[in-house]
Amino acid sequence: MKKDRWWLCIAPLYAFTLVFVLGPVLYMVTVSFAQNEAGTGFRWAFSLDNFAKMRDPVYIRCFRESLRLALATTALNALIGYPFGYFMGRLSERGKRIVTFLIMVPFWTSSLIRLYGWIILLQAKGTLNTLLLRLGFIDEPLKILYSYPAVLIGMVYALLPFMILAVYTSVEKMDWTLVEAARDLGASPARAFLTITLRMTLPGLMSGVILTFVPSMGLFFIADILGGNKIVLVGSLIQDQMTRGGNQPFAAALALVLAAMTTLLLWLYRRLTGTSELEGMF
Amino acid sequence: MENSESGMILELRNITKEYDGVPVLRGIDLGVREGEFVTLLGASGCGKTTILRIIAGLTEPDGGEILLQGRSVVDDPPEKRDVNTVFQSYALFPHMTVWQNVAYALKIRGIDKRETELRVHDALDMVQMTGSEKKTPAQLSGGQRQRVAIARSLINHPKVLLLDEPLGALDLQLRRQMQYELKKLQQQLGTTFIYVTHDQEEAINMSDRIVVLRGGRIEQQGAPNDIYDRPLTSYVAKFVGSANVLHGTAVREQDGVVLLRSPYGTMHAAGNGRPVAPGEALTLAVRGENVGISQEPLDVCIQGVVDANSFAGGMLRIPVRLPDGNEVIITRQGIHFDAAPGETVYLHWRADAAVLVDREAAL
Repeated sequence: MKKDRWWLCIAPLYAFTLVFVLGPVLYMVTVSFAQNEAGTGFRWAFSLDNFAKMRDPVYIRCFRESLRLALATTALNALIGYPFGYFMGRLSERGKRIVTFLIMVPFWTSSLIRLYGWIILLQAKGTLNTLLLRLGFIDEPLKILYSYPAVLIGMVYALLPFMILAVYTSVEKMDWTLVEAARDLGASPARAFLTITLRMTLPGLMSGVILTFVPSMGLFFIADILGGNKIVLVGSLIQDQMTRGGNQPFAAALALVLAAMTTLLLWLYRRLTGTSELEGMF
Repeated sequence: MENSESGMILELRNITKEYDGVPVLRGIDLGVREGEFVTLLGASGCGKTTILRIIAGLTEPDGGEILLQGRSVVDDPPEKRDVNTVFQSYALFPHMTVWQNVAYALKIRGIDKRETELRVHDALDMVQMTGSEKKTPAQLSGGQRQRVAIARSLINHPKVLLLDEPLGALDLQLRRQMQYELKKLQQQLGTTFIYVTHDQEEAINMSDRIVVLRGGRIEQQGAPNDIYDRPLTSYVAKFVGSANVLHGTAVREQDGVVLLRSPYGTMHAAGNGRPVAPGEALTLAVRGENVGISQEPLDVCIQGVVDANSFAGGMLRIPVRLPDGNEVIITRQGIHFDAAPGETVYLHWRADAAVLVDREAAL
């Protein structure tokens, strides 16, 4: 029986998780069914009003916009991050260390500060426009800032390191003898990549997709800063309702629906890609 | 004129290769006949695996020429060469079943479903792996993975099959059985095998010809009994069959027998047809099983003291320490031996059991 005591060591962790993760979630779920009361917060009375309210086209558009941005961010991240992570994994040990370092450097600065950096780059008289004008590629400044492309750039920029590192980790673990075996058996370099390398590094790409998709559904401050007020995401809406709007039950309901949507999409994604490697992730 | 007409299916000409300025291959010339079982034998770092990779196209040589059926393939990528490899680590695709692994080469070439079905079945039957089609490599034992790797590499009927220490990861008993099966398979198919190993026993058991490599050069090549009985160098003598190598000075040559003097006594060896000048420094090689042991001195013998015995693989190894600290290892079948450790003994052998080695003209 003594052998089974190991769980005692982990028990505090489970207790902590239970109290500080499951607790707030349950609280949020409960509040989402409560009634808003202007001025005093909310009243403990069961109601579905908060969910019914979301059928308003304004909010539906908000959800659609969030989903669209998250999908675009994830797709761009995969397109840029996979090749990046792949070639990074094939560098010499020294090269790998240098690139890892370069990826980590931006994290030393607050992400908010870095976003203001993007404003300087993207604004009408900013660095990018000045450069393009000088080089004669454009005749008048591009209006990138406070637009959808600016938000997308900011999102991709913020989440790309997670995709790169996820792909890199699986490329690092790759047994290159398998690719040699494929070539030996008659596969061209492209065929060997598609049938062996891509398939073997798919778990990395998949976790990269999850690591970028999940946060991008909720990230709101990038859209706030780089999108002006034009793009309102569910995240911003929740924040707004929690603070200025003062409708906590509605904020809770929005958060619940967002979480449910994300979970549903991840479940669908897993079913479609048919991999079980990520079984433990959700 | 000397290519396929000469019966050579594969020819390497002056192949050289360096890694970071360190020469790995220093000019390899090798011809392999169709249907031959050639073993590249050598210690690790001798360049044997590099030769295999160069033939497969997985490593590019710095210089030299590779002819496959008389045609140069040195610039061809691996997928264009009619050779296949059994990798040391097997390199089975972990995300594919046994069936998919074996069918891979056919799928790449777009062979239709029915023919694929037949050929995969035949290949698995050949290595006695039918019934495991749906398993993944992770579900197989080491020996089974080995069989699948062989089936996969033979499915395209390559002109030459390259095997890189394929039995290295298997236990002794399984290794012996696989040696036998591989040899049988090779004879049935008539496929040319080039086999890399550091195990001299494996090389002797399986090969038509052994090529002993040392430091990126071919040290000696020949039939297994040739290499075993007539090593040209002390390296080959020691590496193949662990012979004892002894140094002495020539006294005289008579009736093809060379007499040598050494600090521990007189020795003799078969002359190899080359005249010997009295006083010439010579090296001879004699195998442990051919060394006799006596309690009394003989006319031609050397003196030593018996050390502690050891028993391994059905053989008793008796080290005898010579006065200058060198050791002669005597081997005997069985476990019984009638000289006790610490006893002074006299070692002798028949002149034709010892050969002179390291004679430069013979190289």
